[in-house]
Amino acid sequence: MEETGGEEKMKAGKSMAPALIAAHPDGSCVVVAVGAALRIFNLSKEKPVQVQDDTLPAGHGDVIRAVAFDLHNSLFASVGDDKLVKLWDATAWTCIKTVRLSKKASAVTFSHDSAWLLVADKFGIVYVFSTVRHDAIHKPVLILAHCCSIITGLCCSPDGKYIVTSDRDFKIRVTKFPENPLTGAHDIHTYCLGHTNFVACVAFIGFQGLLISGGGDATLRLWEYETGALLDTFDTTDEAGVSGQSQGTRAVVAVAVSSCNTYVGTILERFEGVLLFACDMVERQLSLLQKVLWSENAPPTSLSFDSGGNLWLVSGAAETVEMGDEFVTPEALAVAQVQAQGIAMAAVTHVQVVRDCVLLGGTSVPGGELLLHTLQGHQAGVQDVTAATEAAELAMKNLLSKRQYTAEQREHRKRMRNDKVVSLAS
Amino acid sequence: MPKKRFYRARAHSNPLSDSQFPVPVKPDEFDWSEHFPVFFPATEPEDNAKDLKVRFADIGCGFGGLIVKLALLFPEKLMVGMELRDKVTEYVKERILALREQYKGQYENITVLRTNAMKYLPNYFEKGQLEKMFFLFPDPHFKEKNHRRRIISTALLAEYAYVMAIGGILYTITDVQELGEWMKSTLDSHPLFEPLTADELEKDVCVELLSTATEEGQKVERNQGTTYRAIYRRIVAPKDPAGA
Repeated sequence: MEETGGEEKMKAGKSMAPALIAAHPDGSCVVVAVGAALRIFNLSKEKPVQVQDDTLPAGHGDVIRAVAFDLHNSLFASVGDDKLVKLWDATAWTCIKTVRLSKKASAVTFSHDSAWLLVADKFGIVYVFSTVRHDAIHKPVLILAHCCSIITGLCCSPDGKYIVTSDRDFKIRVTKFPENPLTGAHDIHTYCLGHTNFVACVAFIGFQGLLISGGGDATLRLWEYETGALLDTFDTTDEAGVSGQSQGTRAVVAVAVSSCNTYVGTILERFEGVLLFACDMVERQLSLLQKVLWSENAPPTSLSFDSGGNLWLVSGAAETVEMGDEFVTPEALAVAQVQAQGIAMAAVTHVQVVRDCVLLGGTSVPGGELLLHTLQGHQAGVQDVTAATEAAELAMKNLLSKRQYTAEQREHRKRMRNDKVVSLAS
Repeated sequence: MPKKRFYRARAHSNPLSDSQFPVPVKPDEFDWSEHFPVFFPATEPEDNAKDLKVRFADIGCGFGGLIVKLALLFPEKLMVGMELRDKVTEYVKERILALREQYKGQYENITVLRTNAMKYLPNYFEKGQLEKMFFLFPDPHFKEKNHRRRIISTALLAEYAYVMAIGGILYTITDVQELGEWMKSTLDSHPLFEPLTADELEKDVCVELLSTATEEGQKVERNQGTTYRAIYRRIVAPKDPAGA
């Protein structure tokens, strides 16, 4: 499994964004977001669904970076590099609202009572919106911010008391959920500090004050979020080091908790499989239940449990449309949108399902052949999907890791600065 | 005593660039005993009364003018200056060592850290630990697109409120009018801070130091500039739910 294949395929200046998968909490459908497109399969009706977007602009104009379902009102949100936040009706699959942010979005979640939608951008700011349909407020309201850090995880506690945000600077912050979110969340309750590299993802488990996080330090950690106490750490390096091939640490990419809290699934960088854990609520410990591996398919980029106990996994990635931060004309935006939709339509993913710790073979997945065809796109070789996935992982790692320069490189970079006056030391 | 001319650096440093300095994973993993060697081997019984937690922090301490003055005013309090620039931090280290050498027994309660206070305060300080925080002549970041880098902002005030004790005091001063107005209005609209009364300001010995203790302050005085102070107390969040 070479890494260089992916890099060669990557064009200079473009980067690959990983495909995402999400299952509707009521089990009615599964969504794959790849590039700027949403591919939806309705499991109850056993057929694909086309979204209807009558808002402006219609459809995403660049890769989707995060998606989320809410718990109660059948809502879905998609946010991405086009700086758009789209709120969807997840039954009729129509777009309710589109809001434009000033920066690219990196994470999205709903409050536990479904009344609020929170979106984080790549500069550490979290915005809040009301999910009420006829709400006229379209201007994003800043609720909290991590100073100048990329927010990687965002979720609201099941008891409605807290907002948890994780960032690239190794931190997890627990902020009190305010009475009126539109006036801001100013009261930080505690921090969960312990990761020694970027925190990649956070998720709540159960209703007894527990939080799980995964990080670039290859650990999965269990926290008591009321006190910020670290309850248990699981180092995946031992488990994931398959036949000594590990080149450097494999960061945890994503984590998901099953609806009845029996399983915690986690996927790692360059790991063709998924690790399944159990969380003992009494002892407050994590234990590895099963390592589900496959030999032929690509490492997964996203995972999601559905209400029926299936764990859905997707691998794949799509190119971003690099616009840069310079002023863009509406025409250029429209062109970019067409390009993005084209890339998304052509992108290929692989979808797999794990049930009861066993990988379901080929077409025995729910929805069968038709679902696979809808969510995966046209047939393509494993190598293409793997290459795309690896390029996406590399892009994410570069984004989240601290750049380490040697003293020589730092001096060189300082010399390249055009405003420094070189003075003679006396 | 180190000479400033060997430690000159640009006034500005990019707070967004990735750090090259080690940061503690959490506050109880940081070894303060290296910074305060006289305070820390707490072997005598009366040492248990010593407060071994850092209580004052000067954010962007520059060449250390303020902490050097505060050291003598509050000899029992441990205080730290935080500075982003490498050379300037080195200067302050040398200065403190020279002062400790020259005045035996004094200046043992101050130290300097090279770190980014906008990102790492919760790594060094526990909740409610600091009694005073100082922000003297911060970078104004004039352009509107750079306003988010200002050290006093609604979002960052949540972090400062977290590391400060209830009743702790936050001091700011600037000679830039627009920044002064920004800081005052940002603090006014934050639910966890309230302004000190004129009476309280008069009684607080630190207030006078804001304009006179540092290099920057002395420069402003020499040029007869006006200064704008905003001094606030960290309070408990008000309970009334009558939000906007």
